[in-house]
Amino acid sequence: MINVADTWYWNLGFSSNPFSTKPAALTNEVVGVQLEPILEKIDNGEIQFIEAPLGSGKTTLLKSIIARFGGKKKLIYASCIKNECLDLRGLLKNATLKGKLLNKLSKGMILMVDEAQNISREEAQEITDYLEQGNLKAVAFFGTNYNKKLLTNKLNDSLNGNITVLSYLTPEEAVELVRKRIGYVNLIPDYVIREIYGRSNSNPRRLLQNCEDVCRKASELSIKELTLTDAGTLLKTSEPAAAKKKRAIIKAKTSKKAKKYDKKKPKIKKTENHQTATVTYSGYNLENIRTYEEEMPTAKKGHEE
Amino acid sequence: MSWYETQGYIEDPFSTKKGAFTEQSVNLKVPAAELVYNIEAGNMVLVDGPKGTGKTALLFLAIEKFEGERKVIYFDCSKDKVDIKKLMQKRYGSLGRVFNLTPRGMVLMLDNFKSLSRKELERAKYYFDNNYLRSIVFAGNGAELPENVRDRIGNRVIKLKALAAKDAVELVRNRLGSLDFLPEKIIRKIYAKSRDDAGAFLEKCKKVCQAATEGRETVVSEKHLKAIGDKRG
Repeated sequence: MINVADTWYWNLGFSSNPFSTKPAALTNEVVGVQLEPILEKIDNGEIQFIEAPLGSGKTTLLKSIIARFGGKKKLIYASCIKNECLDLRGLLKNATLKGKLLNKLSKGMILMVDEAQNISREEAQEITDYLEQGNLKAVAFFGTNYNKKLLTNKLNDSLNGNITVLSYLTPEEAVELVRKRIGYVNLIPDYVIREIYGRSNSNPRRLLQNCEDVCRKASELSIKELTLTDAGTLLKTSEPAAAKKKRAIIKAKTSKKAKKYDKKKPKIKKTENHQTATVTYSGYNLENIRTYEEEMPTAKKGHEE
Repeated sequence: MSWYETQGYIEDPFSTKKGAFTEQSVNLKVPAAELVYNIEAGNMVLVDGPKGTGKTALLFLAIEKFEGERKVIYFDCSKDKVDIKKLMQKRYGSLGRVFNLTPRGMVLMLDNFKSLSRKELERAKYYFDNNYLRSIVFAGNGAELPENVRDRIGNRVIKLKALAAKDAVELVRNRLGSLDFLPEKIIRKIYAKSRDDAGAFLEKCKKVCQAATEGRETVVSEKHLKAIGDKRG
């Protein structure tokens, strides 16, 4: 009944979705972040907080760090959940086989705390205690925002402003990220990636999701090479309802303003040669855009033939 | 002898059991293709829609696609307390629990996820991020998800609409094979009393057909609508 054999990425020669947003998809794909200073701080036994908004690659970064320490049994990964206690003792005990067998807590471990914005005071206190006892050597918190109030005074003192705020990717870095995933295929040129990145609120996760949507639809429409206008139209059709609503509100507001302005303007008598204004969106002429709905039947016909 | 056996059916054509007659579903082909694509592509998906719009039927349609691969875990969160770790380990039977084995590349379908605890949601997210779960499908009605899960879903939201009157007629035609016994006019009347809930609609159809069969009638008429509380019947 459902045929997925001609999924767009299979047609391009990929066995799986190259734009997967899973942090585990490509552990060595950290783009636009200097890993070395973070690793150096871990080696020096420092406490640090890595702050970035949702979807900007915190967990990917965390996984890259874990991959660097792979197999050395020196690292503990924990994810904070609101109103749930972190079982740090259990993690320290089960970190090594020796600890498991002798029921002993490991020493000199590195703790990586994901979703650190959800940390509680009790958990912060527990981390402080294990740091003092030498069970933990270094701690790296990863979260959307650093909240001084959630951590203990000692942890805040040890942090000592050691907060790394992940900056937004530059358009060139965004292109690099996409190229790492899909390689140099004609379907999606660099300037289209830059445009999509701009429309993705400079968020890497949103960029990958939008690239997937655009490539999928382009493949359905048998487009060989995307243009800026194609990308704009295809992205518009895949917009979530909330975004569409927001866009509609903005449009309504601007048209109200325009109406006000029109009232003030003296009326121009229409002549036969009067030219209608062209509608532009994001700086590109929208008059000759191929719309998704219009092209779908032809693409299907071609496919059936 | 039950009413449907009298009418020549082997099983109840109006069954609302999970996974029953999924191939006869109406208006689910496009959402099902979308869902299967997203599962294949390894995305987190949300299936959203009011009660009786076919969320569970949609999940079962997707399950059919992966039948035999032993890769899909379906769980109705409203029935029982979910322990995702145990669910994953079940794939390897008792060995899985003893040796703490966790399979990779599984598809997790969480129906009625509203009842899911925050801890289990985070656990599901962890398994997804670490590729133990290839894809997660959340199905529910207007329930809120934590910000970090919602962000992973992005615009992969499949919204299901309520059944329209003509869809209801098609659904009955698909289930019964023809409209000889239950005419379109009656179906539309039953539909009007079902408040867009496909489950309730099928239940009402069943009651009306049962009443007509008990009355030894060959066609369901307006008087049988009494069985579903219609005063005009």
